Amino acid sequence: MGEVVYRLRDVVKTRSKGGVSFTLKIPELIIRRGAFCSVVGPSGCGKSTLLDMLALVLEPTGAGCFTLRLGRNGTSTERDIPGMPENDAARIRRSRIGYVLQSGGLLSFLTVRENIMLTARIGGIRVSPEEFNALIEVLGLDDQLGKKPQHLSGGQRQRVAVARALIHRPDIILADEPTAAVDYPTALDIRDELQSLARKMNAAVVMVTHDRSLVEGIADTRVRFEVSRQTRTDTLAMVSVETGAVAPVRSDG
Amino acid sequence: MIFRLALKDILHDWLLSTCLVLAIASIIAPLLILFGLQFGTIETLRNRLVQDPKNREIRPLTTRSFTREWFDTLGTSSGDIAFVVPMTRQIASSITASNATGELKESLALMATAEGDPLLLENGVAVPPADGCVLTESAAHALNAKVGESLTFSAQRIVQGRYEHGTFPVRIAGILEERASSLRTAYVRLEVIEAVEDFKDGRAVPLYGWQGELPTAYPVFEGVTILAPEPLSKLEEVLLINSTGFSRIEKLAADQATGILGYAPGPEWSVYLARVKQRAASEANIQAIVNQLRGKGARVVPWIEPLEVTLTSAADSRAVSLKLHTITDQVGAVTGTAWPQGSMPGRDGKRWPVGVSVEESLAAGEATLRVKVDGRHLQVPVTIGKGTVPPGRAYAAASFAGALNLLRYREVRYDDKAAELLLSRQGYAGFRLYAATIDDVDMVQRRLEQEGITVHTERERIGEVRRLDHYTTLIFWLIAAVGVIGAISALTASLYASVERKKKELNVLRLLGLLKRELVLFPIFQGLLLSSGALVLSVVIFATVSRVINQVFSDHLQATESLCTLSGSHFLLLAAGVLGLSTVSATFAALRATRLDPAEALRDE
Repeated sequence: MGEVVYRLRDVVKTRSKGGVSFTLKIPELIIRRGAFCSVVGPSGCGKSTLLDMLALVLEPTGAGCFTLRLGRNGTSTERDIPGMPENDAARIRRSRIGYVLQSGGLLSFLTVRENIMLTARIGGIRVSPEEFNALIEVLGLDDQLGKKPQHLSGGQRQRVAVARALIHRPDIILADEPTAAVDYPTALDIRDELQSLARKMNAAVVMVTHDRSLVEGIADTRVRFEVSRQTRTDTLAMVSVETGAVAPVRSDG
Repeated sequence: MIFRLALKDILHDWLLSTCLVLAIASIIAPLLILFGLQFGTIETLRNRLVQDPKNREIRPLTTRSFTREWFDTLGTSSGDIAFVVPMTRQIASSITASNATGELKESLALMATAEGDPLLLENGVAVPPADGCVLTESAAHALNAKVGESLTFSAQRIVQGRYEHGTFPVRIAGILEERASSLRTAYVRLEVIEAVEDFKDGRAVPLYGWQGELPTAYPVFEGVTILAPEPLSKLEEVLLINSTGFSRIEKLAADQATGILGYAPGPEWSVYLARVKQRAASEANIQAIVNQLRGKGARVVPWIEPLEVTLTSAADSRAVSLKLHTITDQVGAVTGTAWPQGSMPGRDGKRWPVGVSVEESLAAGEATLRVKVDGRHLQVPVTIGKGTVPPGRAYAAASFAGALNLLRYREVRYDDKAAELLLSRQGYAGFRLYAATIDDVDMVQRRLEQEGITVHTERERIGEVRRLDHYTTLIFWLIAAVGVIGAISALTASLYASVERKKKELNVLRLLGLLKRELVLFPIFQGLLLSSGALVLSVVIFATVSRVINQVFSDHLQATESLCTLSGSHFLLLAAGVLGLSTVSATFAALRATRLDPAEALRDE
C-alpha cells in the first residue's frame, strides 16, 4: 500500500435540523493510496456525512487533524481540509477525485461517451483513445456509446457512472452505494472492477455500501459505525476503523 | 465547454426550447413589424416631402417693391437659398394664349423662370430660352399643344377707351407634369413678363414693337453754373438759393473753374456755382434760377459732378478714361472757344456727340461710352469729335450728360431698338424663391420675416411630418416597453424554472469540480441561445410580412418606396438589445444556480 492520502484525527461533524441533532465522531482514520476502504453501516448512521467530508463538500464542525495529501511525479503536498476555499476544493475535485454516485448522476442531455468524458473535460485531462477503449471494454459499454441515458438499463447507467469516475485517472475514488441498483452478480463485477482499476492506478478507493458481504474479505480498511442515542433529541455515531486482512465472515441471513 | 453543454441541453429539450423560442419571437416579431411600419411610412412621407421642390418654395405675401440689389444680396448671403427669380404683379402677368391655328384660346398666368429653376429641372424639364416657354400639363391640354409647337401670346390693355393688344410668338420648349403645378401656367423668362407688365402699364416695349410711352431717362444735375458779367451782391446770392431748390452758392476763383467746370471762363466773368444738397436738380430748378437772373445778362449752365467715363474708339479699340462735363452753347460765349466747330453738333442718328481734346489719342468717329456708378453700368454708342477741350476731360451736351448722370441715382439702360436712354424698372412686386433643402426652409422664412416680409411656405407640412414622426415613435416605444417586459419575464421565468428542474444535474457538475463562476454561465448561455433563435425567427417573420405589406400597397408606392422597412442599424440595435436583455434575465436564473449545494447531488431525495 502506498502513502497516506487522507489523515483524520478527532474529526467531529454535528448536524441539527428542527431541534434534532446528529453528531458524527471520527477518532482516527487513515486512507492510503491503492487501498480499498469499505464504509458499511445502516441508513442514517452518517456514511453520507463521512463521504461528503472526504469529498470536500462538507466542512467539519471541529477537527484535530484533517488533511489530504496529493501529488504527482513523486512530489506531494499535505493540505488542511477545513477552511479550504471553495474554488480550490472544486479544482481538487475535478482533477483528483472521482465519484460514483448512488443513482449514477448522468447528464440526460449527453450521450454515454460524452458523459464518460465529462470529468476529463472539466479537469482538462487528456485521455488517449486507447485508454478510453480499454475502460469501455472492461465495463462492457462498447455498444452503448452513442445512446442517451434514458435508453439504458439501470445496470448500464451504473457502469457508465463508474467509467466517468475513472476516466480521468483520479487519485481518489469515492463510490456511494455504486451497486444499489443492480443484481448481485453485476454488483460483484462492479466491485471487482473498482478494486482492480484502483490497484492499477494506485488510487485510494472508498466504497460506501449497506451490504457487508459485498466488501468482506477484500477491503484493506473497514470503517464501521456505532450509533447511540445520547438524549431524546441527540444521536451520536462513533466511527471505528479496522485494518488488515480479515477472515471472510459468512453474512448473516 | 460550458457553451457546448448549454447547447446540448437545449437541443435535448427541443420541444421546450422551441416553445420558448416561439414565445419570445411572438413578442419581438410584432414589435419589429410595428416599428417597421412607423419608420417606413414616415420615411416615405419625408422622402416625398424632400423630393418635391414645391415644399421648398417660399412665396411672399406682402406687397412690396424688391430692388435688384436686394435680389443680388439675397442670392449670395448664405448657402440656404437655391434659387430666386423676381416676379411682377400677378394681375399684370396674365395673357391669352392661342394655338397655331387660332382655334383654341386659353387664358394663362405667366410665371418667371431663370437658369437653375428647381421646379422645372427637378421635374425633368429644361429652362426655356428667351423666346420659349414651358407650359403646365393642364395648359398644354387646354391648348392641345405639344412640345416644339408655336403659340401666340397676347396681352391686353385699355388706352383712352380702346382695347389694345400686344402679341408675340412663343415656342413650347417643354411641358411640366401635373404634380408640379395644376394651374394653367406658362413659365417664361423674366424679360418677357417685364415686357407684358410694361405694356399693360401703358409703356412702349421696343423689343416686341409695341407702342406706348417710352420711359426715357431725364437729365439730372448736381448744380448750376452762373456766369455773371458783374459780380453779384450778397443779397442776390442769397436770393438765388432761396426757394429755388439749391442749397448753397459759392464764388469760384479763376483757377478753380477748369477743375470743377471743365472749362475756363474769361476773366471778365464772375463765376458762381450753386449746388443742391440731396436730391438732384431738375430742369425746373434750373429754370427757377434763370428766372431769378433775368435782365442781368448772366449765362446759366447746368452742372454735374464730373462723371468718370471710358471711351473706346471703334476704329482702334483704344480705351481712355475721362471726366465728363456738361456744356451748352452758352459755354462758347464765355470761354471764347467753340466746340468743336461752331455751335454744338446735334445728335446724329442714334449716336450722341462727345468732345475730347485734340491731343487725346482716341480716334475721332464712332465709339462706345461706358459709365459705372454704384454698381450700375451703362453702355452707349457715341461719336467722338475733337476740339479745344482740356486734356483728361470730355464734353457732352447738358441733356445727354444729365441723362447719363441719372445713373448716379437709379437704374438706367440704353435700349438699342428705341435708340434711347430709358429708365429701368426700380423694383419687383414679388419673387419665386426655393430654399436649398427642406431643413433650410425654416431659417430662410425667419430671415425674411425679420426683414418684414411675410411669406408662405410649406413649413406647416414639414412640421406635420416631423410631429407625426415624433408622436408615432413615442407610441411605438410605449408598446415596445410593454412587449419587452413581457419577453424578459417569460425568459426569466423559464430559465429559472429550468435551473430548478435541472438542480440535480447542475449539482453533479458542481460535484465534478465545475467552479461557481463556470456554472453561472450555463443559464446565461442558454438565455443567449434561445433569444438568438427567437431573434432570427422574428427577422424572418418581419421580412415576410413587410414584403406582403409593400405588395398590398404597391399601387400607392413608387419603385423605391417601402411602407414597412427597417435600416441595418435598427437590426443591430435590436440584436444588441435582445441579447443584452436576455443576459439580464438569465442572470436572475444564474444567481439561483450559484446557491446550489453540490452535496445534494450525493443524496437522492
